[in-house]
Amino acid sequence: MEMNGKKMLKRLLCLIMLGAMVITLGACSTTEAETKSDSAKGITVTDTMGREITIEKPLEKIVTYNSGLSEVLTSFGSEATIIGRGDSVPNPVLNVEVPTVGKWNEPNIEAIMELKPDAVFTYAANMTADNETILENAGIKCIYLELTDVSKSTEEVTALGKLFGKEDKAEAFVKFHDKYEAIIEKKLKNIKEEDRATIYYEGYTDYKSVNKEAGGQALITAAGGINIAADETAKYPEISDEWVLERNPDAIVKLVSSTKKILGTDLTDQGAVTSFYNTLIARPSWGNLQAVKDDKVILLSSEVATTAFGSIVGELYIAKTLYPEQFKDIDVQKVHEELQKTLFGTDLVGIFAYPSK
Amino acid sequence: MKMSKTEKIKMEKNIDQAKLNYMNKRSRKILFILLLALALVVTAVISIAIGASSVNLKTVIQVFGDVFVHNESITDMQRDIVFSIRVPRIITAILVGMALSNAGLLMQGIFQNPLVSPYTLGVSNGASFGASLAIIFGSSFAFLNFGEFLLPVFAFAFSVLTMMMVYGVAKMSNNTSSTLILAGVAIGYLFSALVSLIKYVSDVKDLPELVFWTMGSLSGVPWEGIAIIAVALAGSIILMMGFAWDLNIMSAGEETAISIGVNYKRIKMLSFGISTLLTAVAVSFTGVIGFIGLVSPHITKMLIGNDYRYSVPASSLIGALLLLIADTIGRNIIAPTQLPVGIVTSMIGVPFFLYLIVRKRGK
Amino acid sequence: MELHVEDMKFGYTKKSLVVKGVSFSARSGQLISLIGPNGSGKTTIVKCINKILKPQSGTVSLDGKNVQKMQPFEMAQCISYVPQFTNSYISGSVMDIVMMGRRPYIKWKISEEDIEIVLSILQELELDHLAHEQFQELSGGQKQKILIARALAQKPELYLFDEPISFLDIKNQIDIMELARNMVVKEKKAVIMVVHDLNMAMRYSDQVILLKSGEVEASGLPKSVLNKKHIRTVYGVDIKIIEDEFITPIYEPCVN
Repeated sequence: MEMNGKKMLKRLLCLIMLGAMVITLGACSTTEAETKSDSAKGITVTDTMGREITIEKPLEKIVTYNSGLSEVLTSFGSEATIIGRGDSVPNPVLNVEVPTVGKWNEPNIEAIMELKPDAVFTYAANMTADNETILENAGIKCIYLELTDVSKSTEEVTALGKLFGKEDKAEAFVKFHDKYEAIIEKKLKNIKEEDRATIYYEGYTDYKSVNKEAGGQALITAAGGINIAADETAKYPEISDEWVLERNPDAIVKLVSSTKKILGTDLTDQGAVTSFYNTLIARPSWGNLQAVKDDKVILLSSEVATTAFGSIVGELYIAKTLYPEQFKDIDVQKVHEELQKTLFGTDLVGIFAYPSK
Repeated sequence: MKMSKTEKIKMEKNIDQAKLNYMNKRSRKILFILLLALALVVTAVISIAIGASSVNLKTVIQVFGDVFVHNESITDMQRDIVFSIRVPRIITAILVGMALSNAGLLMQGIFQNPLVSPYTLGVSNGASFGASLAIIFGSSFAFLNFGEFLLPVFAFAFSVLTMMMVYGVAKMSNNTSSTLILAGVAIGYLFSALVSLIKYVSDVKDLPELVFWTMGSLSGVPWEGIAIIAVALAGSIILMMGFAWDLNIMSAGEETAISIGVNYKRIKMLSFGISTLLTAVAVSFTGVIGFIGLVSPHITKMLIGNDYRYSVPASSLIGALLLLIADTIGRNIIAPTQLPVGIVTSMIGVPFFLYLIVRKRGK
Repeated sequence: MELHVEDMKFGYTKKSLVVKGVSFSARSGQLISLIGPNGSGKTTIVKCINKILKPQSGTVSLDGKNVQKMQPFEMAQCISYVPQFTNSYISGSVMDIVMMGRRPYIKWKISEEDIEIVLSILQELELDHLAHEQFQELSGGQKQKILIARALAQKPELYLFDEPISFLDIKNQIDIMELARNMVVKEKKAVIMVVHDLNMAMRYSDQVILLKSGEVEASGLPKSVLNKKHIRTVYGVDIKIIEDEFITPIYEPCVN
């Protein structure tokens, strides 16, 4: 591989700076790590693939191809452990350029090895057995904590807490999550099985729904809804428009990708959201749908519907849409703000659901 | 030529007989076209009567009856399923089938190459590039205020741009059919590489929509879109029928055509323009629906011959039938999940096409 | 009908001319053969006559009218042309192909008269049994005759045939030459034909124009043009001329 001098210099500088940072950070956290290390000899967690992962001491240098993971690390205050990232992972630390090491789904093994991290986090599907062996032989752990299944979010965040020696932070999230999950469960108990609301759940693409094996199902179930497309063959079936009309679901949940710049962090243009919403309910004959008549249509940002942290907020939004009476004492927006404070200590900016609940 | 009186009478008789034969052949072709039209009507009726909801033929008849005499038992939803969902979709299938089929017929005529389809010159790649720009970077183009028409407008603009590039390159060279095809294939690859690039750098959340578009779908085309396709199609069919003779003579090659008094270059440009327009409007609203444009002209030629006076209506009807049947199957086979129409088109079209090839050989 | 070609010049590039100033005339009742080696400009001359190519200079006039100024259909009603190679993709029934020749006369709908004309041409050529066959399925000789029938359907005064017999067997060659002869003698049409076969040219032509590198080497009666000396200069081949009892000489190349 040839590289021009300038690039090389830039890279070198980055590395030096990183090295310096890691050392300082390492120095800061030594006290913390030491206290932990006597309580447990080695740290063992189970990853998404069900593999047991054992490490001797908390991870200090990692490469991640999973943007969800970097969000969790940021809330832990461990974002500086990221020394390399896939292209979809935002730069974790202000003013320090962390090098990218390939596309999110194509880990560059050479680049990873060059960085000499303690561990690399990828989606399991994107790592071949051969590459895994190469990395493991080089002393780099391959860990799959995908954070895609929202029903496993507490377990996975807990595992990450252990891996990074931030059990307290993970604990704070789990507590928050479980508190609201318990509230949801309690309220749902008041609703008889036969009164459960049916949901038409639509992904980013028009009329693309989810069946019971897809990610959206966990969210629907947790919010006490019944997915009308649960039994379709395809995981993400393109559903018939007239069938949706006839099934006449009690509620409609529409996911909006952050790339659409309509819903999400830092997006505050009410006009764009409103017009998107109006286009949605103006689909042929949707005016006749019970869900539309009852105002039980909600747009959710992918940030509250698909992420480990946000999904509890997404669940609340859906639950409140389905059962407004039961959840009238819950201000989901407030809960979200509280979560943001708990996790990141910052104020929430952006619109994450429409209409807001 | 000197001949006896009896010989002359005999000859005239023969000519009368032959004339009758010829007329018969012609009526048979017209009859065949009428049969195709009937088949299309029947298919449309079947198609409108089945779907993922319980709206069936009886309901459909009631809904149509309700337009004239108010019927209490009809719900708004049933009316909408018929008029806002099934009718537009069936009309879209028919129009797009006709458009792609005629575009293919013209393309194969211009290039005198049976492997050519409306997409050979890269129209679909150009359109896909436009569509992917609209899908992936749609939010950046919000200032254009195209709303839901952003994607069709982009797809259309880029398919026309592709054609202009192809034509420009061919024109700068020697402007033969083979340079056109070469330029088209090359520029098609360029755009498909650009689409891949966009896919590569874009967010994973946007990919399904793009993939979905490239598989083609007849659902959700707005009435404005249907009107645009219909106008383009009607204009094209009128022109094609009007120039039917000249199009026929094109197949004899440039020199013969000129010697018969046909303005070969003008007819070629016209065919090129019409087929681009038809493909571009179809692709813009429905995504890439393959196969119809390649195979429907061949089926037409096998069944009714090359005379454009008959092959234009016949290929329109055959294209419409193929696409409508494919879409009806796609809508119903694993309902309420819908199979992309492109998949079904190939799955039913290919065996039928192969059967025709084999049968023709056997003859 | 009289055709005058005057000082026709044509080149695919400005510098190298393929036809370097050719003049000749043809009138009704004449069969003129254009003869010359490959590349001597025969086909180009024919294409310049009916506007497929535009000569760089010189005029082609038909009964005093400049061909370049004629409307396409007007010209097609006066001149018809059978090219050397017809597109192999051409398809359709024999009727369809011959009917193409009626294009200069029809607006859109075919009249009964058009059908009668086409059928009687096929009958005269004894091809009427093929009327509804597919053109592509015919033999080479039949195809060539159908293409000539197509030219006949144009009912022109002048026919241009470019190597109509080059790929045919001897029977079909004679058939087509007889047909051309008939058109000249009985129908009083004019035929300009590109041929390579000296014997055929000798036997059937009224006039022969011998070309060498885009220029007329000799023209006139076949017997005066096609002599040993001319053939030696044009082709660089020595030939033996055998006079038979019909006083039509037979040309035979001498090969050592």
